[in-house]
Amino acid sequence: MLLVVPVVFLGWFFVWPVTSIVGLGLAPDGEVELGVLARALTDQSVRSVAWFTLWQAVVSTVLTLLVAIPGAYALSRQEFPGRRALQAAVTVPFVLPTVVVGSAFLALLGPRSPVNAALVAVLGDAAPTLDLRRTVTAILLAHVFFNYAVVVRTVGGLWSMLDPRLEDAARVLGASRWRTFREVSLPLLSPAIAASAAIVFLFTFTSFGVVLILGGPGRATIEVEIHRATTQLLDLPLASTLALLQLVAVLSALAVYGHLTRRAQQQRLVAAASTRRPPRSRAERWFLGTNLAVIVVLVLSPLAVLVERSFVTATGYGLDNWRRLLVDDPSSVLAVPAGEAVRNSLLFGTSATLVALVVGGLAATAATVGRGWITGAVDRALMVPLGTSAVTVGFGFLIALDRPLDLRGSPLLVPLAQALIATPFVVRTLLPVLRSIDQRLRDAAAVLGASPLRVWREVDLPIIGRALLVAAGFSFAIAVGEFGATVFVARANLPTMPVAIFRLLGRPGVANFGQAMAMSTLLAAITAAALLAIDRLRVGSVGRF
Amino acid sequence: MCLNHDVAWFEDRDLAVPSDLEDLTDPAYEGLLAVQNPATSSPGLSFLLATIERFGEDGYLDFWEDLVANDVVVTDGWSEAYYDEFSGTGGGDRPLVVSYASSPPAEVFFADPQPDEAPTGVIEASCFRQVEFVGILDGTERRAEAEELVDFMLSTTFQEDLPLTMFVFPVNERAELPEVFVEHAVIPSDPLELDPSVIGEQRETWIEAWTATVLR
Repeated sequence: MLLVVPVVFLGWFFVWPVTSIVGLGLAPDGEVELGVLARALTDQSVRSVAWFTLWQAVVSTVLTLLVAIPGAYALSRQEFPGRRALQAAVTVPFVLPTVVVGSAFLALLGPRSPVNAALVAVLGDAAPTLDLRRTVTAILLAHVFFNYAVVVRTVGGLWSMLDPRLEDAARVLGASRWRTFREVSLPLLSPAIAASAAIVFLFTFTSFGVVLILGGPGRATIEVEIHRATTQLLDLPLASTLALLQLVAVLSALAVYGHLTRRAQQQRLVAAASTRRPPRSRAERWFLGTNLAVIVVLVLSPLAVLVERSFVTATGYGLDNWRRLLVDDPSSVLAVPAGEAVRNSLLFGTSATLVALVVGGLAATAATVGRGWITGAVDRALMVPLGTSAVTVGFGFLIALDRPLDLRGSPLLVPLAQALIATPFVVRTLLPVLRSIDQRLRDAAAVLGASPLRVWREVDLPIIGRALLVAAGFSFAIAVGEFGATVFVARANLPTMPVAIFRLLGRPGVANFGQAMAMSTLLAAITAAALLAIDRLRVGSVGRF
Repeated sequence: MCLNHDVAWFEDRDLAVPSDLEDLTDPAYEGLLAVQNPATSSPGLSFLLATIERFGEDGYLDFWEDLVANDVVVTDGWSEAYYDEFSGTGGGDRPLVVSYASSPPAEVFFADPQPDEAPTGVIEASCFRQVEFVGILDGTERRAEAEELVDFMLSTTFQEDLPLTMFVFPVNERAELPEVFVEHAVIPSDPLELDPSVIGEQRETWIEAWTATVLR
């Protein structure tokens, strides 16, 4: 019963549109053209694109895990001033449009970057010029930048609730820090690590803007080729074949993920606040310092470039861009006042969050209660939209959603498209916590006469409250930042903030660029504020029992 | 579509602004040009078509090989070329970029305070006529309404609104240009042109050949 909503949601807003568009491409006259499939799969350039897509995704995922797992520990287990703000800040990259971040990265990786300025200052004229623009390194760095928060939130969320006494016991028994991590924490964290690795892999496998802007035009992922085949060449057969290829890869990755996590563990979780402590030894301070440095260099410096650019004027620094964006008459480029784009983003983002919480919450509950293969399949199927090209989903919406209700012109499409991407995060965040609840607690409540709803409200909800908030915050951030599918379905008179930024950047004129930077900064600030606010809410607390 | 140049950059260095596409392969202009990928960007495609018209189907790939040797940079879209590579507007370090004849007036219009002279200029010999159009789908059930919409889009009111919203020139000759366009826009007297039907037939072949020459 719990699965009805997730299955209908996924079927109506994902499976149906995507099969419609892929079917139209592969069988325009109702008969499947296998020739197209064979031709594309044996094509040398398709193969090299597929290979590049795969290896850059694997390397990006590994790098992200290596950099972000220590960061997850620092942000979830160590207490220091500004921790909350920093935790919100590292999530901001997630919502920023790639075209904006790409531009900031180019400024940091090019010959006129602060790195090169520092090299010249130290080494004089003999300093080598570091120019990482249009390299694979730039792509990998940007992928770590974008996905750092995925690992920090998913792994950190669980880490903050692991009973620290287990680690303490190992340490008392003489295990080194490394051994404690490897033999105690790592196994307990493995579901969260596997989940975040799967998400990062799917995101980087379908990477689009980052590859286009930072990799230069010679490099392409399957996603880039699908976009090109669909919007430039109108070659739907090729686009559909590539979309199928992408889907097969995504399903294989999810199968591996399912295999890795098939043993659902039950573990004792404790209240998040009780596990955090300030760094005490020199090693702990050093560890924290290193992680903070990584965050500053990798995550905060591109954001700083945006903020700085939003204040650049013809004569130095000033508020011109902000004044033009927020106070002046509606810009001819945006067609609506900037405030409306902000309002649209908030409205769509909140609706998408609610949809994702309901769909994801039900799916996660079903996956905890039921153990059948259907629940597992639905759980994994909900991840597939993460690994599907936005252009396929967007086009699919436009050609398929005219029956039974014509939704194509409806503003509802925007939050629905956004919720599709946000739902898997809700499931992945809630599931480990839901699984940790001792079934005997629910049984005891039921024996004492509580209805299933009351059991959920008084047993499950207080325990998962924290995770629910984390999931809500993340869903909101994803929804607000979603661009690929939104741009297809957003009406011209209801632009979201990323759509507005895209419009501003598409016009010449210094003021338009400045306003795009101001709008990006605003998007970052609103997201950070929303995440901080959610972080301060309290829904019950873990470890009441 | 026209090449834009950074006026101050060329004045500071006492270097002549290229006056012909051929000049771009001159070593004096090495590393100065940013273009867009014609497979993903419409001004990029227009520039490719301009080179095909200028050098002929037999010569354009040789020209592009020379451009690559002269360190041309290719971006995916217009924004990246104009804002991240072009020096005339901020971020970049290249003083030549593929953009539009309407970009210099936009640089004046969107500046505060508005300068007397546009900071960027247009190289007339590089201009290619790029037509943006509205069409009616074949087989529509609502032809009359569609025609009304097209008529509206051709009206003077609508057309006079285009320069400052879309930064394109009106097609309706009765439409008057806004002052900033009259003063700062260059309307190329004899832009390069190609027969649309030829473009329609050859576009994919040309893009593939270009990709093979420039990107691989």
